Amino acid sequence: MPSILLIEDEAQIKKFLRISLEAHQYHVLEARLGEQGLAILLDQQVDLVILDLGLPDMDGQEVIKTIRKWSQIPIIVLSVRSNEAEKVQALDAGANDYMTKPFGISELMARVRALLRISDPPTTAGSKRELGGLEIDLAEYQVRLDGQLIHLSRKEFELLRLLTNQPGHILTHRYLTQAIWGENFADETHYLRVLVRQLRHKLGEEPAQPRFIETLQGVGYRFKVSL
Amino acid sequence: MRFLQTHKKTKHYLLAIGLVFVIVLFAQVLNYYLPHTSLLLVFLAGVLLISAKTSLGPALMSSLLSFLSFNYFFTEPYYTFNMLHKADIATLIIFLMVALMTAHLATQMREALAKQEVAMNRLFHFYEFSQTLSSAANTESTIQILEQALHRVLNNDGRVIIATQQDSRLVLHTHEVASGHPGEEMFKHIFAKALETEFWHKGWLFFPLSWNGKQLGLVAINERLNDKQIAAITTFCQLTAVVLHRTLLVAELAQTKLIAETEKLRATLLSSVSHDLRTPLSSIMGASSSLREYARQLSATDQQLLLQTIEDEAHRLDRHIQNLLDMTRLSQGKLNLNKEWIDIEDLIHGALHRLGNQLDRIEFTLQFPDDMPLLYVQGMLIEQAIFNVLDNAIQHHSAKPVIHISVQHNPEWVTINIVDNGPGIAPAEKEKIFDMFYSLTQGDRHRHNTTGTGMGLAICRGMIEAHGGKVRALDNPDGQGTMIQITLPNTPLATTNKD
Repeated sequence: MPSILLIEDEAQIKKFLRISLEAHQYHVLEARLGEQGLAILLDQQVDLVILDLGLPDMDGQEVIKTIRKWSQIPIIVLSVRSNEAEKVQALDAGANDYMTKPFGISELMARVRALLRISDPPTTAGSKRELGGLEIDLAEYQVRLDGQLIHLSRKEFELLRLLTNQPGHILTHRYLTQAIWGENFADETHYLRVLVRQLRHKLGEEPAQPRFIETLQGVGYRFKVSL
Repeated sequence: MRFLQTHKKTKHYLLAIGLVFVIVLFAQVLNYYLPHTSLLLVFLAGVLLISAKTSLGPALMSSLLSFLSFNYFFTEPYYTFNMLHKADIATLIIFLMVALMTAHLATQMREALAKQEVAMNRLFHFYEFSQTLSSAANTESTIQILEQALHRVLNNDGRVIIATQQDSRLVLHTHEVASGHPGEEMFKHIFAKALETEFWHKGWLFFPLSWNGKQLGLVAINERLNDKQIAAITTFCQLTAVVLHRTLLVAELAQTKLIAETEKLRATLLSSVSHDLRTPLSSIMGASSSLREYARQLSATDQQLLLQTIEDEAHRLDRHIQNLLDMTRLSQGKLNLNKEWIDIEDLIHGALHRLGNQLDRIEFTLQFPDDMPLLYVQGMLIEQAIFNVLDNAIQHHSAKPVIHISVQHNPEWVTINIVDNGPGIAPAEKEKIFDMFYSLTQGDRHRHNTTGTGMGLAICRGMIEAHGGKVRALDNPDGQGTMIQITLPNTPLATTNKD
């Protein structure tokens, strides 16, 4: 039974999260303060952390940085809407995903499942990947969409490789730009916008309901996983 | 001035002497035809003329000169000041008396006329002044007119400073750069005295600008003034005070109206907000309490329906709160744009994604040009703006909405057209739907079958305009419905894509 640490000070939110998570056969550990949460992490076996950024005792960003000093445990951040900068900061600090309050429980459950599955067996190892109708051969530089070979430029291929490295993980604009063009181009995100558009066209994406690449406005992109 | 007057007086005396001289010559001629006593009538005419045209002095002199010349030239013995005949003496004495009386009466009449003319003149000035004043729209122009009028009365370059009470403090109107004139402190001090007439203080003469016992201001003049000038200035001040009072009343009325409007807006906003927040809340409370109390009696389907209500209403509540937050940010002007390069397709797809479950009942068509430029905007805000337009289109549509989104661009602008097949918007309301106040006051009437707050489009416009763009409502060019046209500046990209 995977155990999940819930660091959240709002009693009502903690209650409904605990009930839902336990209904899905997760063992739930609760902490109201950042310090308590860190103490539990050191002390007990935990597989995933759900962290509220607005804690009474310390900044959620600090909690992420502290955890990342000694652990690669998946972290889902809960934050209030209309603060993209805060989300980006948390993701850059090492969080794996975020949920915007208010959120539906099914979405959170899907994220939890995705992160636990990824952190468990390294599915993306090896030179071939298969993700929802998309076959990627890293060694041969070949991509097939529903069996059809499609031609990608080097940069498009690189973008697809990065996104599929960690399906379900959010990759920030800055991270992607830096990884594809290099340190000096980290702020020139318009290259990335154009590249994503080109890749999407080649993957035959429907703008209203994209199959593969999801946009998180002001934050970054995520490769969708069949949940 | 004084020199000119002396000069004029000398001229009058010379005129008197000259006229008597001419009359003497004329009488010499007449002497052949008339008895010499009749010649006195000619002299009398001369005296009358001088007294009518000049003042008393020259008139008296001409009488005396006439008397002496007649005595010298026309009474026996001739060319002496002696007289032989007693009749001549009597006649001359009577002549002198009549001449003096005539001189006196004529000058008195002339002076009365002159006085009347001055009075008429003054009256005309006041009339003209009050005419100009009545056209003054505000305190500034009133003060200016008063200043000009005062300078006309003063003649010299006397210094004038006018102070008026505005918003319970004194404002000085002066063109001088300080130095030597009474400061604000002195004006305050004098103002506190609540003057009723003029008042001397440290070389300055203060006149009150007051009407109906209410003090509106002060006029200070640093010149010695005669009684007439003081009277004139007092009249000007009284007239000005009436006008000042009127302009103050007008301003007060406008202020009251503004406060009333703001108050009305606030009240509407509050009632609208509490209505918008309470409606979903009551659904949530009703549905959840039903579930808790009657769970056993309810079928599984009904339970699911109630649960669905709770979730939908919570989403609606969340939307209202987002709208309120956006509106607050916009109205405070605190929108610090955090611009970056954004793909329009991304924006539209983000907006569509946010529609969530509603997506299923909508038919979408999208049309993008191949060479679509990137926008330099804060993505989240434009996405919100597009979402609000879509949301509005869906909320006002009862059947299955068909929405067509297309993008066009030229070197200056990028245009996003969002076309629906809904009921359309009346021409008179096309501009008003973007108006916050309109949406709020009209909101309830339109709302009976919708779930919108009516703030969405106003927020959309606010966000687009913050980016230097425009939003318009047009008719659907291909039939029934509305086209919302969003235009944003096409910012040139500094570098081309490196691929």
